[in-house]
Amino acid sequence: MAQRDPMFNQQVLVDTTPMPDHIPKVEEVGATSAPLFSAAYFIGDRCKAFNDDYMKCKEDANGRGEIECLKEGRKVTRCAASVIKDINTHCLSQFKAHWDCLENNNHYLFECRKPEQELNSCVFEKLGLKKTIPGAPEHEVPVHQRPKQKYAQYPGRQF
Amino acid sequence: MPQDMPPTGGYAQVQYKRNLPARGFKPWVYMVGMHAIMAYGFYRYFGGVREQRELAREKMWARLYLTPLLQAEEDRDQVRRYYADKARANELFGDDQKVYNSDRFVRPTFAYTPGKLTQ
Amino acid sequence: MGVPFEALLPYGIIVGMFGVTGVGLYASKRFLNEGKKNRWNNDIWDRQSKFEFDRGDMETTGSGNWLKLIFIRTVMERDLRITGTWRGQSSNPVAPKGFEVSSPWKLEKRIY
Repeated sequence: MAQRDPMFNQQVLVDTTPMPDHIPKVEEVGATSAPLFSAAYFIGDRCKAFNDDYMKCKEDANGRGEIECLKEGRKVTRCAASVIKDINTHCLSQFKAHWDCLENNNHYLFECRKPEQELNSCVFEKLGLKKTIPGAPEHEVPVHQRPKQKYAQYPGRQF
Repeated sequence: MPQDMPPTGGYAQVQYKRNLPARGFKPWVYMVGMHAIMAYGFYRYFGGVREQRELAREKMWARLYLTPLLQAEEDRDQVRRYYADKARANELFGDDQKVYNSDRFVRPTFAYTPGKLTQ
Repeated sequence: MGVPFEALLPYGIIVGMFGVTGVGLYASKRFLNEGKKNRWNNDIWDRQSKFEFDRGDMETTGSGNWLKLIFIRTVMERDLRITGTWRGQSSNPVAPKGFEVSSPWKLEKRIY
């Protein structure tokens, strides 16, 4: 796998041939970077099993995962799309406020704790999905719930 | 002639000490003050480091949760292009051409790009 | 004796020119980023690389040479494919039609 940026690249190659018919279709997720980043922990909460399944499949496939794990990949995509859809139906205003804030602040989560708090509580009430950071120290307040953010432009109380 | 003797009552004291007033605080105050300032600085610094570590953890886990989704999307795209290339090769050569002596999925390093531009 | 006002004119010019620069940079950055704040310190996950492609005319790229293909996907390029602009955002659960076949492979000339 070539893993470097192309030098002096001026052209792109786009192949518009659709997927062959023997592979089931799935609708791709249409959320862009900021909404995905905003919803990442909820996707992780609901879809952890699918995600782990897919990554395990890729690991076990020994280099053939691209073709062999299509089924798991479709599940991952459907699950993530369902999370985005549910958040859009139930917590649209909070969701929009949060990803607008992220998009305006270089995708820095610590600049947007107030909208994030509102989004988190709304999503937990309506969908039961909770944001937990794995591996965080247990005796401390999780970083997304600390009222003061040391690195934010306004480091005082956020909410 | 009698011998020269010291004056009665002895010589006057020679002033060899400087008589300067001691300015400022006692030295240990400076020592303690410096360490107090540095201790406070280190306290704030490590507090910041810990917060940065937690923020980095938060960002990484958010990305880890998104990775399978984006990877699945990318894989589907690769597979689609793989089958498209295979179909084109079959059309040209008539049968299944195997480029690599491996059953792994290989992302192509070289590709033929359309020469004639369609308008 | 007061300072003659002519002595302060250069300072007025200096401050005014810095002001022009600052406002101009702010305005041009906002304009380039579609009214949002600039992204900075991007890593390879979200980097925006410098290629342009036209969504309506995607099949016409290529030059008839063997070219090397490079695979680095970034989320900002994905945003471009979904919304058509670098900074456009969408929280739609379903991608627009044609998204699944619009992925660009960046090319570079083969070095013989």
